[in-house]
Amino acid sequence: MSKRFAKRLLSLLISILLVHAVAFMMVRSTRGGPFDEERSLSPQVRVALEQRYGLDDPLAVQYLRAVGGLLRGDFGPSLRYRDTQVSELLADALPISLALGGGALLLALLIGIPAGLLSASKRHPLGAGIAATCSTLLLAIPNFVIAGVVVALFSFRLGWLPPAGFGQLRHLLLPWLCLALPLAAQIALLVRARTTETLQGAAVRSAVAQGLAPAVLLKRYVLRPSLTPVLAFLGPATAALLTGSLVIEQVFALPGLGTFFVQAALARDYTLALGVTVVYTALLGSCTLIADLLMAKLDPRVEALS
Amino acid sequence: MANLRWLTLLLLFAACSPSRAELVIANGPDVEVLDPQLANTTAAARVFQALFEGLTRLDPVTLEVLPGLADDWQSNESATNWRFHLREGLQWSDGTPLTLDDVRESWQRLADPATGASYADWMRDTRIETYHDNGWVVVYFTRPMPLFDRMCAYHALTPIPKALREAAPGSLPDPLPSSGPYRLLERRIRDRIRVERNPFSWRADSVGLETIDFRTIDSQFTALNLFLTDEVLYTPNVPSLAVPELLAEHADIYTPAPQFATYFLRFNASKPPFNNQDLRLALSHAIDREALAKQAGGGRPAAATLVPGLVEGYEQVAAPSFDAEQARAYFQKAKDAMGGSIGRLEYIYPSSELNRAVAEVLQQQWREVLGVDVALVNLENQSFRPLQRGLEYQVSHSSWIGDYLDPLTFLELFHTQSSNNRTGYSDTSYDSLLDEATARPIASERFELLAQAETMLLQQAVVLPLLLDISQELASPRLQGFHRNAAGVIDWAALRITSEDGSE
Repeated sequence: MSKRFAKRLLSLLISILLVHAVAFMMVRSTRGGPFDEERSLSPQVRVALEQRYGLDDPLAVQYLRAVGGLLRGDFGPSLRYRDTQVSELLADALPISLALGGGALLLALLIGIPAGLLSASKRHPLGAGIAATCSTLLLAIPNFVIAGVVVALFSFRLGWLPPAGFGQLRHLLLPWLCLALPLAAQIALLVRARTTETLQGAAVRSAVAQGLAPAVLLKRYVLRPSLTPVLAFLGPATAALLTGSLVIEQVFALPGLGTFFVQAALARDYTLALGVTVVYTALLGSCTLIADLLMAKLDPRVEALS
Repeated sequence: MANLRWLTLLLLFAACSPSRAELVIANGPDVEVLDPQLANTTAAARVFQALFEGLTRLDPVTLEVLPGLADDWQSNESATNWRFHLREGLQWSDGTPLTLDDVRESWQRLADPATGASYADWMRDTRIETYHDNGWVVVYFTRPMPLFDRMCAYHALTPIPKALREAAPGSLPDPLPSSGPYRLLERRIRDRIRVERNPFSWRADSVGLETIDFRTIDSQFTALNLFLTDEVLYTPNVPSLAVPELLAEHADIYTPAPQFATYFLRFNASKPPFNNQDLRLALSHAIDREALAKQAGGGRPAAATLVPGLVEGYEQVAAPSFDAEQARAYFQKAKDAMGGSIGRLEYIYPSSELNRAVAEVLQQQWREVLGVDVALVNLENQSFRPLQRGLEYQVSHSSWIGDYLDPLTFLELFHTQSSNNRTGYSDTSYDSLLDEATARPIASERFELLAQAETMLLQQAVVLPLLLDISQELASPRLQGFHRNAAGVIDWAALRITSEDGSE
């Protein structure tokens, strides 16, 4: 187990280095630079700036310097936020993205699992129908559309929550909802498919025949196997949350990582763009890793197979 | 377990929520660098007006030059040297004295290429002397600078503290000493800049508010939502899509006014096909600006001149007007001169909702009048600018915001020496008109020469003005002391907030 874990960790580190290298080449091969502002810099000023940030060195030297920084966890000063280090920017934005994504994930599980179980149930055909329809619908609607609807409803019609902003818990409720709903729909569909399958399986039928109490039956024979696909889905779900949060951060004016990702690339802030890419890669890699470990714990077959 | 950890994080998050500032405004995009010499966005300008005071400042109603840190100033007759007298007892917001040396060293830093300031050219080739015994600082230019007192109100020329002058790249002094009515309390990138009343400001007594939050809000829709729900009392602009509804339902607070800013076309006059003046004239006469404004302007009026008509006493001649017959005649002439074929034509523009709408209308008008298909190329800003600067284009979208209320800030762009020329246009008589104009300290004489220069530029169709920019500020009626003006000047010290029932 620990040997396998170490191996996975090593491959994650190698992936980060590879992604870093590719990102470096991509960001440096695009046209334009960080100092191409609307008001042109005089040639002397431009030369001085490029010198200061080492942009006049050969690309190979710059790459090696970037790798050295990566290993030390120091990405250097941002080229756009010229009075701030990239590490400071990341350290400020990461907790916000984590709170946004984590809260949304939790909410998605809280809505998705019961909805999935309900929609698989034969005892409540009406509830099942509604849950299944809602899931399918929500899956098809992009989260920025959901954002428009919830802002119109909760901020303008009801006046309960602010339409955007950051600083208090109430500022996060609507973003969580917008990020969670499409994800909850996916989780519900996964749970539903596996539960339907499980309910028809021999184990459940024999348990029912033995007269097991419904609560025990649900917990031991239905819920546990139904959750395995949800866990497997957590890796990609995190990816969806991180990329999806980009739009939500814009709409709700949240100072998370997502906006940095796009704006750094557009503004040719080389150091920041690389920093965000590395953080995203590390996040995605570790989420998949954790999901895999949990899965092995929950379902012994997973470990046996690998 | 994992869930528990999240909950803890979230609770922590909720616990550290800051209190609300007395005034919260939406400030648009992030202020990327808190250095008045390095930042050059309008969002940054708003923050710097609160934090840093110039030797002079502008009256938000009349845009007249008022005393700031300097209580007296004068220039010699040719405006090649300027002297300013600093108020006595000035202090930075940390209580340390603000001296003549701060002024001198700030200006020297601005001029130093190593600083990386885009306004470095304002202070190039200057000599600065300080006279401590009588409190004067004198700056000697090698050229006439008739508007230097006005320019001193702009944040690039405000004195900055020693800590900032000596800060290493990638660092910001904490605390950041400032000289304006407010001082920095907190800066959270991509979130907010919070300022508090500066007790050391020379006009601290007149400052009305204790704290102000400048919120970073990229999305204009989000800013509008916040404004309409009273979460912010000011937003600098509104989405074009919302304009008709705002005009219909909020006409009391939405009163768009012309800004000192123009949208225009640049033709690449340095190489074929647009080194041919007839072709430039053909494309210019083919544009119906009124129709363009109506179809794509989002409330912005048509511009007949490059310099917005806001400068008193400056009389301008309009650019080539819409005339299909003449356009076709010029087009034929150009075609003949080029051996019967013009070849492929291309228009480049930086991505934005407005720019795309404008580009599509231009394309359609050129097709209808001249029967020519101009390809549209949409680029993101950082790709667009090197192409325009490197003269690797034929026709390109352009816009410019005047730095100060004078025609020169637009016309100097097309001087042969200007790094913002980007058209390849070089005409010695144009250059000498500008040079001569800057040497005339009397406004009326200068304006006459500048008007001649603008006429020349427009008649040679190097640029084609399209739309005037408008201020789309929304300010709550509760915000007292706020005045709309063409230069985006806000006197933050004068602002007061009345409660909803109208009392202060």
